[in-house]
Amino acid sequence: MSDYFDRVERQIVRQVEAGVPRSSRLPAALGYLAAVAAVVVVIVVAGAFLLTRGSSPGPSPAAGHSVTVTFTASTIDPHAHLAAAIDRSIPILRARLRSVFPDVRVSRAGNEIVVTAPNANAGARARILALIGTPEQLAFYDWEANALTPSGKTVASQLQTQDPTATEISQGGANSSPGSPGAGSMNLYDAVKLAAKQPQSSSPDNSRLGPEYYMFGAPGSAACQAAAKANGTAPAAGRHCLLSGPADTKSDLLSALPPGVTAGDGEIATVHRGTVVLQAIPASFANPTAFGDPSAQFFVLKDDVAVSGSDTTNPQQNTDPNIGQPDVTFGFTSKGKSEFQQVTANIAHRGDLLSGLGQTLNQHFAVALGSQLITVPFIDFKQYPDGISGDKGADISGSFTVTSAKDLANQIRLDALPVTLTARG
Amino acid sequence: MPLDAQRTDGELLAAVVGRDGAAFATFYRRHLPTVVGFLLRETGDREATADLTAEVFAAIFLVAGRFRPRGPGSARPWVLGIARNKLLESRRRGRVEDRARRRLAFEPELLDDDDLARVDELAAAAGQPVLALVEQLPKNQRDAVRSRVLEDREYDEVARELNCSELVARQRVSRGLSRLRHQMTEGEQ
Repeated sequence: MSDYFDRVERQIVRQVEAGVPRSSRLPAALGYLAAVAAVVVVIVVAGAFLLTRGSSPGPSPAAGHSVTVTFTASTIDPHAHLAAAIDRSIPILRARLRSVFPDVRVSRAGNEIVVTAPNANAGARARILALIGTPEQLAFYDWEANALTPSGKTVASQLQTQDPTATEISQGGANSSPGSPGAGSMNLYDAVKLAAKQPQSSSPDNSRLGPEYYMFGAPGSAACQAAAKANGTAPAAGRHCLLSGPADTKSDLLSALPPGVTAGDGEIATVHRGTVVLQAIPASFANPTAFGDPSAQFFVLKDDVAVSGSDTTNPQQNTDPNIGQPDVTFGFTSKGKSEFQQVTANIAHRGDLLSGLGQTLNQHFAVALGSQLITVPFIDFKQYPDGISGDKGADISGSFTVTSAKDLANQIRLDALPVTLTARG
Repeated sequence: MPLDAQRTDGELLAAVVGRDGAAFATFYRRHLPTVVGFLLRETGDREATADLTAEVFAAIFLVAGRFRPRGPGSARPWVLGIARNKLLESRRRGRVEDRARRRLAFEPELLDDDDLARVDELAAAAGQPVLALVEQLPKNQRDAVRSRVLEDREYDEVARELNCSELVARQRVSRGLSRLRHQMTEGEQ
């Protein structure tokens, strides 16, 4: 007998006898495309990399291997020319990816886009899919109304009880401003555990439409050692380590595990829709702490976005006239203006109310790009008792270099791709 | 073959990791009807079932090293878990998953009418264990399920045959089917 199922059996048996293929081995077709990509690659100029959302510390040339993902492209506008749309998409994708993969190569191969990350670590494929499939979205939050204390209650609800952690998250620590590491922040494991306890809460104002998965290894475990080896780092003593994630699906999460680590070797945490884990504002945008770095710090917020990036316009790198430092300015759509006015008014009113207790407690809004907090400025309720008009736009200032401010402006501007992409394989 | 056929699923998968092609063949034949039956029931499409079945077994080979046997029992729940994941992923993507086969540089296999008929045969073979489960039901439920479901009798006939009221006959059938459903679901988790 030689039916379909016999032929399938024979093919797999041949593979069994040849041994499991290495994860880095590409099927013939992909290998060919990767070779084409190598020829037409445009070298990305390494500079100051604004956001490092990698699931692990920066890739080490010694530890990494090349990961290639091929995407089939189709135009969003049915009347658009696909080749031109792909060409327009490539620099956008490159800008989006290079925050995590500095040496990433993005090229066109017919109607496909080939992304190659040299020297990548084990979670590279999932990170590429996450970065491309889920564009970094700019989001404005009412900080105190959304940030959670370790008890799972919002900072705003706990300020009236003078909860010390709530006060620290709202007003900052001795040497740290709100949203910065040390100002009531926590490590990734604690943040994800807190976030995972929150029930699902769906609303049109969520920045994320589904769950997010993480997998952690126990302190000192073989899995953490394997992850550290894959990342070319040393395991952090006494701490849980990030083995994989964040990922949009469990299968993506598990497919990105370090070599030798299986699903049973760690703890999977699910952060439901309605809650986000945001990395604390980096001390320097030119040299941020990697997402998976053991020293990275995080906050947990309810995902109730007040103004989304789609309601901002014309982002550009500029110079703060007050201090002469690089910043990012942008305008709002009419909807964005209204929302910005509303949220800043709410924040000002709350600051006024809380400050009536005998102290000045200005309240804040937060700006995040993807899972990275960018800034948490306060609203002076005495100066802006009815909020800030969005008519003149807004600016984001912080520890920017000109390059990193340009990168942020580009990230905001370039959110929209003219094509939809489907990963092959 | 006799030796392979007597090995547990755990032993076969361990041998697969050690490049034992015959062990994979045994495992494949042991679980093929189950996978085909499950996928055909879920998709209702013979071609998609054949395509997905190849993907499931390619994936099983790739992750054989991850199987953790819980005693000498069957790997059926584990196999069906992989099948379910592949099915869900395919639905999510709107096309049959082929990641594992691509990783193995699988040659495409074409289907003809005989192959599609084979899908039906395998699925029918997969259905046989249900009959065995029916036999394990308590007598009053077993008789009621046999009469109503397998012999397709009306409830008043079932009631007469079992010498009970129609209401009791319905309860026995309902409880029997519920127990079967529970046992089958348990086997697939």
